[in-house]
Amino acid sequence: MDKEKPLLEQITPYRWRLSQDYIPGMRVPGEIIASEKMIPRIISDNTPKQVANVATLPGIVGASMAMPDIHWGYGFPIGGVAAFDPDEGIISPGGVGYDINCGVSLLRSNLLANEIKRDIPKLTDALFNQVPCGVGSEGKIKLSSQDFKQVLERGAGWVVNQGMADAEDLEFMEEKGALSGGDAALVSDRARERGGKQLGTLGSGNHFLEIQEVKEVFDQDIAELFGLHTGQVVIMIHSGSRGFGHQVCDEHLKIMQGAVRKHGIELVDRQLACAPFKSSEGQNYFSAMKCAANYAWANRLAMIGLIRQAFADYFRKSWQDLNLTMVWDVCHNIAKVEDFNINRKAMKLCIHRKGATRACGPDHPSLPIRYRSSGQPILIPGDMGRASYVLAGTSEAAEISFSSTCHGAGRIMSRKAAVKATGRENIANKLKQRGIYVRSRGRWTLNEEIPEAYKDVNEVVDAVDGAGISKKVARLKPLGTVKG
Amino acid sequence: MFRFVEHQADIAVELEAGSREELFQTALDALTALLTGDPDNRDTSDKIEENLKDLQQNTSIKANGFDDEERLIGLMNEFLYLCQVKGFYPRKTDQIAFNDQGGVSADLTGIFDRHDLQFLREIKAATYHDIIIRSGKVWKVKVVMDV
Repeated sequence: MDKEKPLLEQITPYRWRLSQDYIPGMRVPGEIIASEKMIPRIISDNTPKQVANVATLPGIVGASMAMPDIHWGYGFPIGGVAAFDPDEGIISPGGVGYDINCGVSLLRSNLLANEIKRDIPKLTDALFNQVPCGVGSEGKIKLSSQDFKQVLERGAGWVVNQGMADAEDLEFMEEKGALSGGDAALVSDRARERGGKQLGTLGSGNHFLEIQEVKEVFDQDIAELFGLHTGQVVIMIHSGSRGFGHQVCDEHLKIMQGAVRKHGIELVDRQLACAPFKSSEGQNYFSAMKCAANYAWANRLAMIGLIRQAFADYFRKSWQDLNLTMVWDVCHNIAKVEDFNINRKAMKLCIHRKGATRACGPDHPSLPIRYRSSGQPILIPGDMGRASYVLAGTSEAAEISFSSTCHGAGRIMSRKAAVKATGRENIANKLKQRGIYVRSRGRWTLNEEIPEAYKDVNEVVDAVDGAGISKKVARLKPLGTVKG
Repeated sequence: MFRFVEHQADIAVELEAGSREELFQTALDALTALLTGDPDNRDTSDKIEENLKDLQQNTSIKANGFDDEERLIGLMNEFLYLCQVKGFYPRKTDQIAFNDQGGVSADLTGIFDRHDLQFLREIKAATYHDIIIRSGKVWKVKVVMDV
């Protein structure tokens, strides 16, 4: 490698190429979506090395990609996107992550922030009491083994069937809230045990549910299609497949350690363990991953049922009268087989998104009629002090980034450093002074999740907008936050 | 000994020990500290009242693997399952033993099913990221955990 050559070559103002000879064994180049301002930190974090590592995996197509919220993970970087030929390529649990189908839902309402400003603390308290959250929390839903099977195979559809949500909710969820082909028989007893009591729980760490205000609209037409307007109250939920997904990932990573030896795959990092997509190991993981994804969709929709109940009780109106309806639900840790045009050839690719969100543009056949002209909503949670965003998918995203975009702000500070930086500071009080009411169960959660621990989400969103892979629609301001 | 080190998204721990057995024991001690103590202040002091010591039980976990790296990660994840799913509040790792079939076991002392003993955090799993056990006079490894 020529030491004079810059590490990243700028292709466009927001696209940077990592040469295919950066490390031995790369099969494709790397590509990072970021602004020029973000590049020094990305380089100093050494995340291009992880982008390069992914590029060594068999059957990878196009480029090993990273979104502007990229940060160092384990194996695949967080914010990584990689597509594989299903005939010659692999599938990797590490390319999805432990929290399979960690994702975000957004509800709209007919409430106005300036009218319920004084209600926010009590409303947040009501959510905190209604939605189980925190380490070791258990859900209110008791599942029989038959119920569990249905959750794993029908996902959010099971929640609707139980009367806890509305059938129309499914129309506004990625994959309508379930991936077909998940075989519950392939899931271990241990995974069932780990997830059995957690359906309808938020989790801990960076998971949250938040009452927000639509503070700024950038595209009036699309915002109207999404049912959003300035001053409106919306509710965002960030959660995933809980212990169930973690167990599925761990078990299959262990199986894949043997699979790489069996199939003669050389790895630069063991966390990249994988198997040929069409192998029994690959297909078994894909099926179990779908079960975990379905669990996550059911989890988020079950919590939406609880949120609607909390609002209904507080305002003494039905959730329908409050118009607490689904804007969209996205997943940002997943592997799916999707259709792309590569060099003018229609191909199915196994696309891995680890900390990245699908960004389907207008006319995509998977979208409900309401969003066919706008492209799909993309929900980008920021940190608890600044903002979150709603974006729209673009047609360009299919050409540039395998219809993918960022998923959040991305950490820049370790949890250890964040706790050290905050010392004995009362984070809840500090946020309250900024007009944000926070409830949290964990002793260290707020310290670990301080806004300063994350990249500026405004910069991240500007980068994907600038790159043309997503379009800014609205900025959301936190009002009341619940964390585990 | 164990030392938590900077890792952007998760938690990483560096382990050092005088033998293979001690390295594995130290790994479980590190997990105990993460689950029950304050990792930043290394506060693993006894939080259990004297009378609860009478409730302590012994149990064991085991794992197998192709090499020591797989065995270590396997054992750590078994430990996490025991604690986070089976409700075991760990106090001490008593003994680590290896067998000829590629397995490792750990004898543990702790308390089951005491809901007043809360864990400080949830750990999704110990990962295989960049895991290389270095043996010699001092055995060393760095493990990244997803939290």
